[in-house]
Amino acid sequence: MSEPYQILIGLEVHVQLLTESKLFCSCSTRFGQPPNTQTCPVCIGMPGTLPVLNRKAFQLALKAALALNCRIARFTKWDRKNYYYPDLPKGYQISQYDLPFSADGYLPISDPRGQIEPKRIGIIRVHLEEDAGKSMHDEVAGRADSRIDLNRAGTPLLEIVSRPDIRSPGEAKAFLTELKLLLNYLEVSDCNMQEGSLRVDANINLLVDTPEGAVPTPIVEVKNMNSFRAVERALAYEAQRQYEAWQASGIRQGGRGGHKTTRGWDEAAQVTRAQRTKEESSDYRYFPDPDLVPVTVTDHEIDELRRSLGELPADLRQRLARTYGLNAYDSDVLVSQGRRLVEYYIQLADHCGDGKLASNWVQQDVLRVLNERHMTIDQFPVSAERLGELLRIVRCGQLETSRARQVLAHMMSTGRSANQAMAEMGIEEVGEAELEALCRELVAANPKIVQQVKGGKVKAAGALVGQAKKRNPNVDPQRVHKLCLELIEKM
Amino acid sequence: MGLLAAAYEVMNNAGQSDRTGSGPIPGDVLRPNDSGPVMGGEMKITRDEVEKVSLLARLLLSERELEAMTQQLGRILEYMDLLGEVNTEGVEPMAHAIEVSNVFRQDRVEPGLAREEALANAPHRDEECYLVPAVLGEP
Repeated sequence: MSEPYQILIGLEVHVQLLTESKLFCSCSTRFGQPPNTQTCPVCIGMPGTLPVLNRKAFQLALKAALALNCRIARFTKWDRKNYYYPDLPKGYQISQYDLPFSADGYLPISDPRGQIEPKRIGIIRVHLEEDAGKSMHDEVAGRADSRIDLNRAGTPLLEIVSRPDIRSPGEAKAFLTELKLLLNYLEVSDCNMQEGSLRVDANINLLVDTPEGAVPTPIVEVKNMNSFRAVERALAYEAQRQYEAWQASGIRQGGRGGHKTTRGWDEAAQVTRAQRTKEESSDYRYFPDPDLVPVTVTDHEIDELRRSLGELPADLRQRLARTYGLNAYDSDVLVSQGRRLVEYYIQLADHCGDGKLASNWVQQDVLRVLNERHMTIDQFPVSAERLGELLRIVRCGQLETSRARQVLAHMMSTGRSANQAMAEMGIEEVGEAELEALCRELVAANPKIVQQVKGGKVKAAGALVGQAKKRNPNVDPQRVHKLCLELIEKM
Repeated sequence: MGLLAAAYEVMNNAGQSDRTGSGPIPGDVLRPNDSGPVMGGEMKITRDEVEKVSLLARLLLSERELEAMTQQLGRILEYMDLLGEVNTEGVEPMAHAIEVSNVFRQDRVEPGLAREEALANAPHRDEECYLVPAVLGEP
């Protein structure tokens, strides 16, 4: 952090809303359908058609804005953003210009690993607009034409514009991660970057320290970043590039040659490349869409929606820390997995009575199975109640962890309860006398190991534990280890 | 559509200083300007401005058409200035011409066009898509 400059980053995020149908017509929004099979006269811009607003889309948008602590406008309207592009059949995009439905919010970000300081990132505005279609150009095949698929045209998009409060590529990534989690919890968007349901553009420039004070470098809009990692890398690259450009040219924002430019991230080459300069905002010739009437929102509606938000990630993290004694890292890992998994965890912790133990089992065992089998927590074969029963047994010291894992595996494949599974596996607690007899036998039979341990190589005792487990799988390895060392000590 | 947009562009630009940034500017849209100079004989719009908006509207105008458009758009803007004579003291700006709000539809999928119908009027197409001259770069 010893660079002689400060980085200023503002993000512009577009997310597709989880509606069944498009923003202003009844076509399906399903991803991945054959080209041009989800269109109608409204979304392909036929003359004489009339758009009608999707109520669900507006409500999802309101929920997102409320969760982002925005002020909700009591009166909002629709504007046409005019530009020509082949994937925009009407020649304009229905968007919101001077009266967006919400503005002035913030999203708190933090990092459980302590890489960044907790802070609030301001939100300038959140507005609703329609998506464009998709143009495909197959350069490899050397085609002279581009192909246009209008399935996506008219899909509801939420545009979220942050203030330039972000000070590092790491903070940008943290903002995006938290935003995605929040929108997932709200079921507003699945934020799937691969399917294009979340897209990010970034504005970045530097404040360079000079003897005459901080000097801003020209703002660059970075586009074409296809993952959060790409955002982080592109911004790190761009900050360095701008500093070098500043050193070489001394061009400052607003000075000669200091206008805003657009650059695209080249993932393969890991560099940003200049793109053609963006049109001025007035060139879009915004004006109110006469086809759509304004929307008014009442305090009552806002209160009701606010109540429907449910417990959001930031609150949940705090609750897990407060009620279940988890540290920031563990509560973050659990909350990051989504609302349903947190609900499973809470049930499990309540059943077994040990929040940390439950957290370890969810993180190490449940999540591993979910990843391996590509399933969601709802498909996990062992209920929180039944796993809780198993963990109660572990907690009493009647079952050691590796053995308990085998029991869980048996429970998963047979659907048995913990007690049934243990009975079927022949698991029973080994008595103190039996355990001691076994250890004595092992120590007597392994003079080499005894010598090694006496010679200071305590690790060698591990071999005795292995032998004990082979003789009787029900023994607790920790108790065997401890007992064997005690016996050797006395020899 | 292009012409309507062009007219608004002219109205928005006339008599207003250039703005920078793209943030929300309340009242900046469709506000008939009442501060611009209204001098007899002086055109409300220059030929350069008409050329610019015709480019944005993708209208290729001949020299003669450019001249005619400059005259005609100028007269339209002068006519709009009549609005400036109305006393609007205490009158709320309108966002829409009709006094209706909150028209919604349910989020329900209904059958749209079959692909053959959707592509029927396309000047160029293949089995699945509209074809247009190569699109390189961003909007």
